[in-house]
Amino acid sequence: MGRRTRCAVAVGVVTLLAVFPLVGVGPYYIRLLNLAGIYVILTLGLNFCVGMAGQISYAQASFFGIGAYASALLTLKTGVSFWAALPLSALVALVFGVLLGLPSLKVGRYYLAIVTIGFSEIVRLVLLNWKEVTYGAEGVKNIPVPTIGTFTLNTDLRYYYLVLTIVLFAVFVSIRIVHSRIGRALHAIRMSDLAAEVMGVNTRYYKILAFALSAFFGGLAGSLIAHYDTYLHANSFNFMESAKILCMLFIGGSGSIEGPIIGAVGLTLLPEWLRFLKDYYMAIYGVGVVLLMGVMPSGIRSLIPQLARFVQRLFTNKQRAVRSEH
Amino acid sequence: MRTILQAEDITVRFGGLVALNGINLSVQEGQIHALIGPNGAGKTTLINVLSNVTTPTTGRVTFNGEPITGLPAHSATEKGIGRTFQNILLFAGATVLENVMIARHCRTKYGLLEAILRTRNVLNEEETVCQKALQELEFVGMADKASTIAGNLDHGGQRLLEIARALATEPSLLLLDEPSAGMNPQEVNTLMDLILRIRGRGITVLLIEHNMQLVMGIADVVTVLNFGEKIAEGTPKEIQNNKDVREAYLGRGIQYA
Amino acid sequence: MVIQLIVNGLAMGFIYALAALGVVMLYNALGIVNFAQGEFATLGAFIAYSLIAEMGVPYPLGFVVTVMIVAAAGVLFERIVYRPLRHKHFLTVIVSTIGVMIFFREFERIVWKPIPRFFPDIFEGRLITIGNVVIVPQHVFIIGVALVLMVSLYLFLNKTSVGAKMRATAQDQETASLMGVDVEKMIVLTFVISACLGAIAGVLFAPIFFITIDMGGTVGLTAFCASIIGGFGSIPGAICGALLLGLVEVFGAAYVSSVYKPAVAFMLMIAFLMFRPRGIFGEKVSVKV
Repeated sequence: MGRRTRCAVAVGVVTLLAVFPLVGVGPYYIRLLNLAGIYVILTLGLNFCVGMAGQISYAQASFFGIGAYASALLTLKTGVSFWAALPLSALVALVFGVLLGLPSLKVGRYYLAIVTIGFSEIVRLVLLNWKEVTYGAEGVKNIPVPTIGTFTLNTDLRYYYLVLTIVLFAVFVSIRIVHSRIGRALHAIRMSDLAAEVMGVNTRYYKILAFALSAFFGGLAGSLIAHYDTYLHANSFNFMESAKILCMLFIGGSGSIEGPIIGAVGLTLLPEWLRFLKDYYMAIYGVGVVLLMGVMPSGIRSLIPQLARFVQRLFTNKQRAVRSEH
Repeated sequence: MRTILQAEDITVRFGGLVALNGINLSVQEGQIHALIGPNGAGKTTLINVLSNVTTPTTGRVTFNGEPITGLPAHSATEKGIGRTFQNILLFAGATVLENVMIARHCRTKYGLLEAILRTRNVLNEEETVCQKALQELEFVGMADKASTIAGNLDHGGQRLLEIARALATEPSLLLLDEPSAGMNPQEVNTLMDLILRIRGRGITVLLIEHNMQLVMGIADVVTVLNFGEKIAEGTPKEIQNNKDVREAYLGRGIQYA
Repeated sequence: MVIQLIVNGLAMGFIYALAALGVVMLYNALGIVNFAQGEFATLGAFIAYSLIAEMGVPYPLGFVVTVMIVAAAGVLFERIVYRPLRHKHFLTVIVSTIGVMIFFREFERIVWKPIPRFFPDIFEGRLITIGNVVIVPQHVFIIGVALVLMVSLYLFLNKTSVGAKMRATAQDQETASLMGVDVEKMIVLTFVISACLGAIAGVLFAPIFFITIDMGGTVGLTAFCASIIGGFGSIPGAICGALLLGLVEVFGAAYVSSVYKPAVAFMLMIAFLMFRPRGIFGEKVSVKV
């Protein structure tokens, strides 16, 4: 694809996403789309660490939580506006990301997995018990809704455009990073730590950078959820939440940009479409994850080329049919 | 002639095992320097020390007069020491071109913010990355395979790609760990020609080899290791006539060409 | 007071030790860490609850039947989850295990509903009083059962031919199969033993707290921490690590604060990984170059 075509496609997609909720989509679905958007940001974030650099992390929900609490507490206790709290809370999450990145220099694989699980458990317990700051088990209430002048983002539709903006930012940043020396370095670390190092990649620096980027995106998503739900509880940011984000990443296809998006959007909307399964949905979902990892370890994304070929064939057949008619 | 690399009194112990014992080695600029010796003599360990993959128990390495011992491996690469691996360590899932592009990492400078903003500088550097990578592929005769997945190359192809990748880091000293292993005689001839052309670019080559035809054919200096110690050093001729070397190899069935 | 706490801590420690043995045996044999290990414990506790508390099956029989059912789940796990994933990337295995955990938990939620269950105390609330020391019989029972199990497992692995075959498989699958060991069978057996150990830990643990869906997850992760503290791959290490954690948790809760009890194992493990990666016994775990 040439530069022009790519630009045209991008403009088309953005326009479509901007207009879409205006044409008869109920507020309930817009709420789902907003959640999907927030999960896209989380999953794209986790993608830096797990998908690109190959460092396992069970802590994405913690960065989500750290960002959410930081943003909520900043606006509530210091009175800064949401617009300042959003980047600040992402930076707070980033600092914790760097901290969690440090063990990845010493241990790998299963050890790193358990360290990240431990980290997230400790974060959850601190959020839950540090009453003076986090309001403890009561949770944080009455988090202010973002405003622009006198315009309040107090409906799902209005919030949709805020989420969409941050999602586009996340996608944009991800694309730029993937196609740069930084993306190549991260990818190299996933394939072979040693080879990457010998090819001149400062693997220590880039591993920490991967964790920092993951955390930064997690923080952004956290700030968005805090001011959307206006209520927070530490227990929402638990191990299963991290596991859910990991599943989104791998079901979509890790390491790419389209994979995390497919995974996050798909797994947020799927329960709605599969409502008839009721209580069985999650159990079937669990089995689905196991089967999918067995048959399609690169995720749903690996179907895209096949799908493209199929569509192409459909078109050429049609053309041929048209031609033979003449 | 100038000494490009100087290793002094290198000892490496793994637990109770002594892999290298007080090795001194000096490599002269512009030469092809071969490192030979029976299996387990410590050749790869020495290459690992010189490329900072392994930190020696004692001893120091200076490269271009600068001490490099204890630095992380990537800074050795940055300073101009390139290397390949005996048991091929490619990015198997990536394409041939991507493999070489990754190796341009330390010759590009732009940071995260620039990458996101995609400044003019980024575009220029990226263009150079691609060009240089293609140049190196051309140099080793693999330009036509640029979009092949590295893991799907045949053995000889993988060895050549490793060399192209190492060259893309712009080394002034190239360490080759058994580049001819698993190659057929015809491929070995191409390899010998390639190594000579690498030297022709002003790059000093230090190589571990078992193929004596290659060593005797192109090496300027040969160093012989046995049981972690240096037992001889000299021109290929001198080494061929060295009594200790003959003893070390005796019964191992290695024939000099 | 101190003696009570020691008994209590040891009881917890032995529960972790049983789960940790399952983790370590699986790791030694197959090089994988099963993060879903703790789910076998939860499943065991729930099944035992249904059999013993609801259906009135006598405790010993209920115990044995539970372990057999969970062992069957272990075989299924090997067939459905582990086999297709052999030689797959480590991250794929991890994500797949998450799927298993979700399935187990949801299955339990459907069958037993998300209500905490209270397992009847087989000692009917009696306490052992020696002087002014009061001891909960369940704790003594746990320690006893765990010790008997560990000794039998040791004898099985070291004194029987099947045990020798299992150890051979754990050491080197290729060589073992060349020597005529049916490696596939040994792998299934390893899964069975590991699942059984989990189930037993679950049943023993059930009367101490409520049975909840998250119960096993906590036990499993604590067990994993214990095996790292002990030196990963080492069986005596795993047991020592588990006992240490049991004691630290109980004493920490009594003298410091119980709020951070769930984090104690992780904090201790992280400290060990940072400052003594070899653990109490065993191999070094730093990234291999």
